[in-house]
Order: sequence, then C-alpha cells, then structure tokens
Amino acid sequence: MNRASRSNSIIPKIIIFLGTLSVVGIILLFFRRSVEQAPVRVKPDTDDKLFTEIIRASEPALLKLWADGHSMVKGPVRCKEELILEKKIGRAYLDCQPHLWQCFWQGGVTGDSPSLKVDLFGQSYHVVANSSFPAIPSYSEYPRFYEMMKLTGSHLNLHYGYKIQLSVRELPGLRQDLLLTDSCRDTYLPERVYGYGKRPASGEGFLWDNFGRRIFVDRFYVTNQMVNEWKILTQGSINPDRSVWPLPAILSLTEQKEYCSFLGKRLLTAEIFDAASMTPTDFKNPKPLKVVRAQTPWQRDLGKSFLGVARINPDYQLTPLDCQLAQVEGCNEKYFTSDSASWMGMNYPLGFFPESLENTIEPKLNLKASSRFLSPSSPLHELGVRTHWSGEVQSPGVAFRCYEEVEP
Amino acid sequence: MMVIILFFTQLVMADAPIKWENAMSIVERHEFYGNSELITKPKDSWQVLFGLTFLDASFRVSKDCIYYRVPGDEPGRIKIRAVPSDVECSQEILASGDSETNEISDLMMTTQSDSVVLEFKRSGKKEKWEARMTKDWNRPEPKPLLSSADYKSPAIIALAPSPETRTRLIPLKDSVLCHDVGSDCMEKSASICGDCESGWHEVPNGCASGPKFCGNIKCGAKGMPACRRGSVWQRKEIPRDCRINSSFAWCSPGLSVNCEGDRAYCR
Repeated sequence: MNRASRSNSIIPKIIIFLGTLSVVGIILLFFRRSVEQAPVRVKPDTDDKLFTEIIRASEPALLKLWADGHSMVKGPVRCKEELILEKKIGRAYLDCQPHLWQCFWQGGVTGDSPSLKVDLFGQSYHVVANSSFPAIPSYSEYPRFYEMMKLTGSHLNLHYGYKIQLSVRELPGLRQDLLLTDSCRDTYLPERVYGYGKRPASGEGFLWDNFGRRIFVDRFYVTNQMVNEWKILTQGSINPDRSVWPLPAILSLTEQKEYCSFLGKRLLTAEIFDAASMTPTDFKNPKPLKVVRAQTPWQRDLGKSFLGVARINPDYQLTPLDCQLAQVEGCNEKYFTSDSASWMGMNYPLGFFPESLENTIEPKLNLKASSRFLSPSSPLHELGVRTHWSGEVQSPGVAFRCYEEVEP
Repeated sequence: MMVIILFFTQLVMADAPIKWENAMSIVERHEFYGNSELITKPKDSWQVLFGLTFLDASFRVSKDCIYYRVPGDEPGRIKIRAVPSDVECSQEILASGDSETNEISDLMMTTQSDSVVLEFKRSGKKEKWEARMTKDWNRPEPKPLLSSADYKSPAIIALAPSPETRTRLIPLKDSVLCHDVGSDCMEKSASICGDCESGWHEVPNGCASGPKFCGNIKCGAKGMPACRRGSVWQRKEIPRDCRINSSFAWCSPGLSVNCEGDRAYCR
C-alpha cells in the first residue's frame, strides 16, 4: 500500500518536470528560430531587380571558379586549344586563369551546359557566362567568354582585368557585365627594415625600409600565357605552342621592363627580391636592432641546408623535398609549385630559373643566377649572390617577375 | 483593351533606371534636404538632389546627376543627366536631361551609405525609386599573402552600361604631377595617380608620402629621382631636410643625391 502511494506521488512530479522541460525547450527553440530567420529577404517585384539579386548571390561561386580555379578541375580537361595540363604544371596555374574560365564555359571541365547554381527565394537559378566577346584567332575560332582589358583612367588604380558577361537561364534577355581582377598574382611585402645583399663581412651593409609603402611582388615568374595577352593587346604575335604557355617567358631586358610597365608595374628590384627571400629572425619586431641576412629562404645558414651539404659532398643525392625547396640540376622540371614559397609568399627564391632583377645599388649584379641549370654544389645557390646579365635573350633563358607599388 | 491596361500600368509603374542597381557611390548630395523630409523649397527652381557614379563597361567612371524641379506654379520634374565624372552636377543643372519624369509632387529623399531612395507622387500615384551601391567594400589592411588586386578593389566589379555620350577617357600622361605633397609633408591635392597611363613614381622628399608623377622611370639613374630608402632603418630621428641629411634616398654608384628644394634627384 505504501509502495503504491509512493509511486502515485512520484508520477505527477515526473509529469510536471517533463512538462516544464518541454515548455522551456519550445521557448528556446522559438527564440533560436527567430534569431536565424531575422534577415528575411523579400523576392523583388521586377525581373530586373531579381536578376541583380541573383547575380550578387552568385558571387561566391563565381569567385571560386575564378580565383580558386584548381578546385573545379577534378579530372582531365577537354579544351586542347586553351589548356594542356601536363604533370609538370602545378595546379596554382589554374587560379585566376582566363583559359580555364574559357574552357569551363565551353563545357571542357564539367561537360555540356555548365552553370553556377544559385538557390534564392526558395528557387534554384542557373547563372551562365555568355560567349559575347570576339574570338581571338590565335587562340581559337570560338567566341570568347571574356575579354582582356587594359584599364586606363579608371580612377580605380586598376591596370588590367577581364571583362565577362553573365545571364540567368531562368530570366532570358537580361545581362550583366562584370570585371574580374587578378587576385592570384602577387603578394604583399610587409613593412619592415630590410637588408640588401649577402651577409656582410662587417657592419650592417645596405639597409632600407618600406614603412608607409604598399609593395606587392609577383608570386611566380611571368609566363608565356601572360606575355601572350600583352602581345595580343599591343598587336604583337603570340607564342602558339600551348605546352609552353605556363612556362616562364623568356624576353630581353627591354621587353621585360615594357611588359611590367604595361601593367603599371616594374621589373622586380634586387633589394625587394632579397627582402622577399630572406626570412626575418623576429616576425613580431619590424624594426630589429640587427638585420640578419639569411643565406637560404628556409635555413639561415647555408651549411645546414642541402645546398651546403652538397658543396661538401659531391655525391650528395637530392631528395624530393630538396627539389621542392629549390629546383637545381638533377631535379625534375616542375612549374607553379608553391612548396618553395618564401616567408611572405614569393616562390622560387633559389633555384628554378635565372631571374632578372633591376639593381640600382650594384647595377652590374642584375641576375639571380641560382637555377635548375646549376649543380646543387654551385656557390651561386645563395641568397644575395648575383651575377651580370647583358639583357639579351640567351639560352637557357632568363625569367622575370614584376612588382607593383600601390598608393596607401 | 488588355494591351492598353498593360501599357498604362507600365507607364505609371515606371521604375528607376536599371543601372541604379549597380551604382558605385553617392556624390554631391544636396546638403540641406534632410532624410525623409518633403522637398518644397525653393519653389520653381532646379536643384541637384545627388549624383550616382558608375563604372561602365568601358571601364570609365560615369556619373548620373539627378535633378529636381521643385513644384510651385508648375508641377515638379525629375531630370537625369549623364555627365563626365569630373564635372560637377551643378555645372549642368540647366542642360536638358537624358530622361525626364513630369507631374511629380511630395518628393522625399533618403540616403544611406549603401542606398538612396526617392519617394514621390507621380500624377497622384505613389512611386519609389531606389539606387543601391554595389557591394559595400572597404580597403583591407595590408597583410601577408594579400594581393594588390584585393587591396585595390573588390574581386568582382559590376559594370554599368556604357553611356554613348558625355564620358571622357583621360589617362594622365607621363611626367604629370599626380600627387602634390608639400615640403611640410602636407597633401596639397588628393592623389589622382590611379589615372596614370603607365603607373607612377615618387620623388622622395623624406615624407611618409612624397610627391608623385605619372610614368614608370628607373629611380637612382642619372638625372632621375633618387630611390626611396625610408627613414626608419636608421633607428634614430634624422632632420627632415634634404640638404642636411639625404639618407632617406639613394642613387646608383658614381652618382650622388642632389636636393632640388626638398626633392631628391641623382646627379
């Protein structure tokens, strides 16, 4: 009897407890939903406005396709007139790559009828690029899905971009022109005190600083594909061999400067190259009391790197990691690999190709000679070590890159 | 009959120009008309309500000026006229509009950082025109791995249709002074170096930002501006006077820094 009455008295308490819990839960759920649903968007009442909303909503997908192009390519591409992707070409080549943009919209990446799906106002829309720009015969007979634009007097300090035109399949007749900028090309050189040249025997050598300046350095060498665009816009003839488009452009010194100038940039200088290559000892202090000159981008002392070991041991066997850091003689040929990136994101500080540098401090030392054409034991594989280049096109060729100074 | 109704509906419901969906900025807003206030004065006069700038498909900045003739003896009118971006709307206030909308009354204007709304009655019926700025974009702080493109502009820029007339393409030629900075380091005029045809160069004068000229020259060469070396690397205060201490600049070997006023050249 006692047991029965005890159980009778517990059941209502459990019911009350569960009931209270449910009410509190429902209240919490209500508040959570109301917070999530706060930004209610109303479907525009006209097609024009709806179209604009869809284009704006498609921007993340557009950016992914453009600036993160390599992530869109899962298998082989079917556009031999635009892209020949050999194994030696790294996937970074596909980012901000107009030929991939052309290939994608021609159906060479995902198949026929490519589109970017946008879910908006409870409906799916399909954004497509239009092939509304004239064909470039030296590329292909196919009308282009973009147009290269040299920008002058735009008030935006932009010198170059790609014009595209978008439509929405569900809203025929409406079009929007857009400009894509090349946000994959260069990287910022932080404001610091920097040193020029190799480790001085005594004293501090040449120091300089870039406080108050906005300097951006090309991450990779200028390629034949980039130079082709310059040639097309300046009525020159392009290099038709698609297999070399991702490779460094081999130009004379005069042409290198003209190319950079065309884009509002300059040929990279020796002191900026050193600043971009030599890892600072103290990242947190941009005004260090002593500016240490690193001998390699990844080891302050060359002796501790594979290049130092190779100087002592002529039988040194290169490892795959060595070749990722600095492509020297004996390494496989590879391009657009980002494993060699310096502390601020510039690739190929040592090895790879000889590189042209403007040098106003020691004008005759205008070539970073360290390259894939020199044995790993070469004394030229050291930061700050440079030789002279006459400026003429020669074998095996001198690569180059540009930098841009933007007003703060 | 249906066609007539549709036509009539279209006419009454005429909307703001579609390009207003992609305006870049609101400029020259009338300073005295408050947000959501009826505009009633000065009667029978044309007023500049605001200007809207656009980047057009030819990559020129164009501007639409929006004028209002305040109703008085005559009904109100809205006039839209495209002008070159460097022309003040007030300069063309009496010129004819590219489009004009008549029988306007009870007009109110509301501007915010990313939109402008005109509410009014046309022939007694309420209408609302809205212009929206393209993605609200602020220049990011420079940081490692940031690209110059991302520093200078949004990654995707919407372009307005190219107006057929009245826009000018005026890239600045080499050697034009595009950023005037005085010897006291004060800016004499805002920089227009973004308009230079092929980049710009600075003539160092020891200021955080020195005067700049259009053109891509080789600093440090004979007769050319010296190269900028900065002042922080010395780790001490130096007098900012080119003739006393020109260590903020350098020249190629064999040349020396020559001060022309406060500006450093190589001789």
